[in-house]
Amino acid sequence: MAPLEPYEKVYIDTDFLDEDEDVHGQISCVTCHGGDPEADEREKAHIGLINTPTDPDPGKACGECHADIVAKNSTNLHFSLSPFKTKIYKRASADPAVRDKIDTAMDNHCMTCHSSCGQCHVSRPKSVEGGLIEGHLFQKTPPVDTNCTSCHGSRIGKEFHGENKGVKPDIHHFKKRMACKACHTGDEMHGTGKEHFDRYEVTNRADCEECHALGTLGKKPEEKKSGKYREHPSHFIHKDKVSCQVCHSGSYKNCYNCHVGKDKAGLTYFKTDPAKMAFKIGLNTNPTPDRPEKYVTVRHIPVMVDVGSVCQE
Amino acid sequence: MKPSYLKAFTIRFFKYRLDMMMIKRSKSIKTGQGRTIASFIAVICYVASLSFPFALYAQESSCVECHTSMKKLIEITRAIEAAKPKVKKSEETKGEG
Repeated sequence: MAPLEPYEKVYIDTDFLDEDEDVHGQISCVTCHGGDPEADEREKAHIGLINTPTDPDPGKACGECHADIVAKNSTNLHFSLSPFKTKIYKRASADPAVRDKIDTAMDNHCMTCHSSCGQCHVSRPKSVEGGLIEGHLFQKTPPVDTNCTSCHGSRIGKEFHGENKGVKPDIHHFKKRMACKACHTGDEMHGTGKEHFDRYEVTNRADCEECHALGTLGKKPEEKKSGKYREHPSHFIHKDKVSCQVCHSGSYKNCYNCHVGKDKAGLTYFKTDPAKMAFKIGLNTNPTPDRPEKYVTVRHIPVMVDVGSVCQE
Repeated sequence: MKPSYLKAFTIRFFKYRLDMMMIKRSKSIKTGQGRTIASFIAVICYVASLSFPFALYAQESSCVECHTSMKKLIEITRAIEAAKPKVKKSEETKGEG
């Protein structure tokens, strides 16, 4: 993703002011952004300016019309990133001194990646230096390249698009050109309004069986209707024992030894060992009614074209 | 004045003019005093119809005037970038983020 020129980051397309193009353009600028529009100098006009009106609290900017979504914001995983903390806490010592260090490290590093309403629907996320997308025209569905993969790029983006050497793209992209939204709906992105220990607890998350219900896999519509067919036996043998991805996937990116800190100048840094493409299966550490399988892939990984290739190998 | 403002202005102007006509035709206003009040309201409405849209959009125009002009923004942001201290990044960062 090419970086934006400074002027592009703040450029507003006149279409935004057209009621037929975007109703948000009918709200006065100061309602969300503050500042002093009557000032005759740029510096004075920007006193009290709110660059990101939806971060951390979107109540004032979005709440009047989107109250139901705003109500879920504090527990929205893109905003709270809460599973990172709970997962790391679970692995780390309970010693308060250690917890303090973890909290500091998370504030300096992990939490800088979180996103807000505006950083999905209006601008690029702050973690990639922000900047308006589409001249401030609100995007009901955030664009994949400027928003989804600007954060989920090294792993998900490259895997999904098949940019890792020797590894094919996700079948949904390769065969049907599906975008993230096809499986990961707005509802899932906005969350359920409940606190979650991990992201697999989100009940409205993407679910393979919504499209590929057991008993109908690979069957023509007339066959599904007649019921005169046999389900692939593996689905009955492995049901609730292994997740779909354990069989229907391939090599994925694994990262090692991520360490974070501050250098002598007080600047934050991270260090990771080179990532490796591998296929790893692990125990499901948090079985839920939605995800009862005993064995799962370590990460949620793309689906490969050559399904079942892992088992065959 | 931008077309969208002109459109909003025209709509609001005719809306107030319509209000005025309705007041004048109201059966409840039959007395001289009523007519005086109605005239006063009509004048206020007329003045408001002229000034209100400008008052509303003047707030936005100073923001919109700069932020919709690519040429202005290029000039301004260049000056800002030149004056702004560069954001330092640690040289110790290694690996894929």
